[in-house]
Amino acid sequence: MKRITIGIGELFASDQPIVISTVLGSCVSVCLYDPVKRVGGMNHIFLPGNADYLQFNASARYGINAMELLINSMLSLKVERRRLRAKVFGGGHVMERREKQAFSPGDANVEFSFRFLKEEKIPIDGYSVGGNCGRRIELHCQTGEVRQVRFQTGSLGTIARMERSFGMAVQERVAKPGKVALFGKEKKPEAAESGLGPVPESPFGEKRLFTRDQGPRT
Amino acid sequence: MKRVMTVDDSASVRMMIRVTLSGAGYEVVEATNGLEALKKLSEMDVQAMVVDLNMPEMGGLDLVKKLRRIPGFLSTPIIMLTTESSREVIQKGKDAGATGWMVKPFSPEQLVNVIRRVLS
Repeated sequence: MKRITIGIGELFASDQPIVISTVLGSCVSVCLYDPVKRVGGMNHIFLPGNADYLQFNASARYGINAMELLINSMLSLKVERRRLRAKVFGGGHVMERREKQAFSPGDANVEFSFRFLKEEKIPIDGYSVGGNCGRRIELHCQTGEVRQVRFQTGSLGTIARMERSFGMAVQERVAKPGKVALFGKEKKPEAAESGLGPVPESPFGEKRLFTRDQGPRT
Repeated sequence: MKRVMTVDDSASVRMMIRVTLSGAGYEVVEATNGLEALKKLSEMDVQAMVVDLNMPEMGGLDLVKKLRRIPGFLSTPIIMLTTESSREVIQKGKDAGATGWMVKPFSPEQLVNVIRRVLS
């Protein structure tokens, strides 16, 4: 069976007999599944801070966008949004244990994921979150089944360093102003009249998100 | 007070737009897809719209095309707010009659600036 591995900030969805795997520390993976179309998808998200659902701060906006990218990837496979079901994994207390900080990125990631799924009325069939451990998870796209292995040694330090580095990159990314183009009557969109800057090739700069048409490493 | 309609199948995105634009002094009404938007637009006037691309029932491009065939909506500013950023899709938006294109995740300040600009 074909296997796909995704990293921080990436996602993948498929209707094929594919297993998607990832390794989580403080990060969270939301696995979505449509039992009728037998389509599964997984993301791997890390928020730069607590997501404020009242003021919609940068962390909330980033997280909502990450979730919407996964949902849109599923919708492109003829999934119906109302049929989506979720499983949530990750949010281990990895970074604060290693770096002795008060803020818990794992808790922030978990709280956001549960809040988002609640607001979107996507039922949660199962979850395994928190704890002083990392997780390796595998999602079988056609069945929605998830296999999890928890670990407390080995690569936890490396994972924490990668998450810290990614978190700093996300903070810089979300601080940039949004991209917009206003269409002039005679002009092409890339040379639009907005004066607010052209539409970028990717809202995520150099880091491309994987879709079903852009498979990552296997 | 000027009224802006947000059309998006994500409750979180609709909340985000409502918080952003109502804080800037606009009345915000919501629809979850193109069909619901058309129904609400038959019952009320709006001065601008913020429309998602991928939605069930009726997506953003089809909504814009339908609206541009209705005399009362020929010049209503319609901003597409979407995760899509390919030039081909943006061109489709322009051809359909959209006024502008914003790529998510959006900056609240930019959204307010764009709405102010198209309503000025």
